[in-house]
Amino acid sequence: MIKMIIKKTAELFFKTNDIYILETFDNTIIINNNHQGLLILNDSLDIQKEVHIQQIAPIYFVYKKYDNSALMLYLPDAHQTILIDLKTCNHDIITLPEVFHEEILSSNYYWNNDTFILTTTNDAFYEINFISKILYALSYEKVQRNYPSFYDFWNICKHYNIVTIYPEKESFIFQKDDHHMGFFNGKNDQECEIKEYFNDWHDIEYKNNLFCFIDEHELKIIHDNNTFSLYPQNNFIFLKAKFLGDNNLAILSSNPANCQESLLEVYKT
Amino acid sequence: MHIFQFILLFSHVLTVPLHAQYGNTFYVKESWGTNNTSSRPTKSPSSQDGWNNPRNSPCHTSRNFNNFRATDFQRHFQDRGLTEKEILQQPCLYMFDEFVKFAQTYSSYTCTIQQLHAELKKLNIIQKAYYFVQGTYCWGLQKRIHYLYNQLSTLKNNNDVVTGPTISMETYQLLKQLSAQQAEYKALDGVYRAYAPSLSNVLAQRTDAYRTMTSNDTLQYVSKSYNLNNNVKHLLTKYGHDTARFTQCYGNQLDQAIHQESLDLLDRIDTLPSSSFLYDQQEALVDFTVAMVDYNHENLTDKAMNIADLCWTLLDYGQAIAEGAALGAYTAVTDLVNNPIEATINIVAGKQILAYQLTKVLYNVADISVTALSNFDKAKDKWNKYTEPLNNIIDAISKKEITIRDAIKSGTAFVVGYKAQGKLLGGLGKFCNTIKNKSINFVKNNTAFNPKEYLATPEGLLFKATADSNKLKQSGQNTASSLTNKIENSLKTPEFIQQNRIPLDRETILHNELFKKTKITPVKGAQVYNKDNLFYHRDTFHKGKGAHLEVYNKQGIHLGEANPLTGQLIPNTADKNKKLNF
Repeated sequence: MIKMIIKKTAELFFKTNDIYILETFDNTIIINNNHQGLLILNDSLDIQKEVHIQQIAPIYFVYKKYDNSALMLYLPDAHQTILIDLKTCNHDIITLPEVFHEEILSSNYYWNNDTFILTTTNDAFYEINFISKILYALSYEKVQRNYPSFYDFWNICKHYNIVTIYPEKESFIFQKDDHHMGFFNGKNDQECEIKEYFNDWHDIEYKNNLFCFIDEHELKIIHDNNTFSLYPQNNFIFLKAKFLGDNNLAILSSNPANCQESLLEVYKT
Repeated sequence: MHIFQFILLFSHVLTVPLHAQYGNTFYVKESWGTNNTSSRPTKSPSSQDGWNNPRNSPCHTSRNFNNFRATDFQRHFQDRGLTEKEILQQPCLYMFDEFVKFAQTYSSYTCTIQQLHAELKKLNIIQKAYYFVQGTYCWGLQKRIHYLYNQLSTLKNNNDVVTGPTISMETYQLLKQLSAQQAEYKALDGVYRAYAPSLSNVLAQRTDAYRTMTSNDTLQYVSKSYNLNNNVKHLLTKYGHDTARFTQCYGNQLDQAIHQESLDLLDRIDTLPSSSFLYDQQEALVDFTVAMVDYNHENLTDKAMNIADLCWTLLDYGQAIAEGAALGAYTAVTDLVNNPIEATINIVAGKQILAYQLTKVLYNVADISVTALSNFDKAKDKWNKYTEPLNNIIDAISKKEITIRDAIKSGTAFVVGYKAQGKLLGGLGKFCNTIKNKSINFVKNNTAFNPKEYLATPEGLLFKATADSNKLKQSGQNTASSLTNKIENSLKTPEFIQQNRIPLDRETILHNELFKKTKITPVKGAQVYNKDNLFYHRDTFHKGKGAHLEVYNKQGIHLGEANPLTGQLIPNTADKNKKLNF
């Protein structure tokens, strides 16, 4: 049995930043900057860029372009999405059609080249027109005809209880019941299951056969039969964790007595 | 001119009451047995015991013969020296099985029944009404004679051994109606079993009766006596109803089952506790039951069943509310707003079933016509807009009541059928007016609450169900499948649980008007709300079943996690480390 070694490589404490968004791609970390946009950091936790946005509502979800050149923030309470060009840090606000006063965008999407297809929790398709900055409905037939791979993946998703989804990799973590979870890889149509795990988690991440279970008071990384636990710093609780690059893990913690106090850490696995 | 019309006219001219005579002078009732000079033979039975007198005809004193056996009838007539013709000329006595047994011993029985059947078919509603008032026509007589007539055909066919048993067109229509109703009950069986247990029980009994009834070649009509307990008698008397209608039922197995149901209903209504929100509807419920029995006596079984369905649904709804209160599901006017799911499932589902049953009774049985379109959903916060649909229904009921009263007064209506409808309309009028008055009182006594909050209370749900009935009728959505869909939709697992994601504020109780947005800086991307000096926000990290709200007091101390759908605190979840900073 190979013992897992996890080592902290960076840490950044925020005294006055209520961080609740954590996204990663390659070796880049994205977090919210209170309610005024985003901060972009590298894996050493150096701030690389700031994206200033006068948000009128909190961010519910972040969509990442598959080539990591752009993001879209979803602000359902404001019926808005915000498109951000990560190269220029420019952003465009898109007001959602009235139907989105009822409809909710789901976390499954397709964003490749100039095509950005969003799905809703009621199984509808929308496409963003980047010129007019308008969302318009797409028929199933058109999606099936023009984006068959995504359409098939979307159909497969409907048959699973998905916990975490990675649309760009056409893969997801699913839960069968309280004792069976797994990872589905749509690219090769393979599933790997994990049977022994603990139940007190609120979020799960997966990468390269590593499952990361996040609970406020404990973070567990499971690789085959090896389990490694991390505990939050004093007075802090774990909120989120995301795999970063090939071997790193970014973890977001917060002080429950003061939501403005946030802690960002990077561990090498 | 038809013989009945002639006799009716003649009797009016001579101011001589009609008498149940058969043959050429059928139904002519003379005033023999009184002090008047009479052309009637002195050995008339009525001259001795008075039962053939219009005021004391067999129809009015039916209970005297309830315990007579065929031999008793034989002795009775022998004592009075009546001839075969005179005995068979007492139509109302055919309501008694034992009399029929006795009458069948006479050779002219077949002929008498055939002629009675033919004559009764020709009677118009005015004549029936007149004879009814005179006491020579009684409830269900035509149906009974029709049955006896059919029995003759069956006997004949059986003797011929050529053809199978036949059923009349009326019986066929009845069975067709009942079969449709059975299909509806089957479709809604799951819904009723889950949310309307009393209704479900009686439907099982009705289904048994229906099966027994249809398993035989012919419908078996019997006259059955029922004992009323003192409480039921007192209840009927209290609201001015005659107990006699409940003591006897002539009909098939299903008719008898429905009659027994009416007594069971009265028992339940009588035991409504004064704390029940249905207590004020007691009189309306009794009226409904009386109307139900009247329709049953008139062989309008489907209508009787629809009214019974409404009564049981109301009682089940009352029970769900009482149980909800006992479980602590709600204790105050706003609690149902806060508890839309869990312990109040039966109440929410009950409201849908109630709207369904009420729509059937209002528009199919009572046949009221609401012409004004009600847009209940656009009422916003204006109370008079909310009450508009209910007022329209009340107006329609009153108009219909006046029409019926006028029709009866002018003699253009068949009293018997209209009487049942009149009773039903009376009950519906009381029912709707009680709902309206209670809502007015609520508004007067609870000025702090708005109409939407009232509509989330048990009584408000009853108000809404009644007002919505018009919309249901007009949209054509009052079908078994729509009801099932509605209940499923109102009780289905919230999407954020199904989809295992973090809910939005609008998917939680925070969307309710009682929760006010604060200017406190959002916590981890969640807006902070205030209600009753407590502060709530969504947890933005727990998904699906684990989703919850965080609740703090006005000092910012964490009180615990709360159900996102109900706002109810989850025990033992307070975390002393969590704090809300103002």
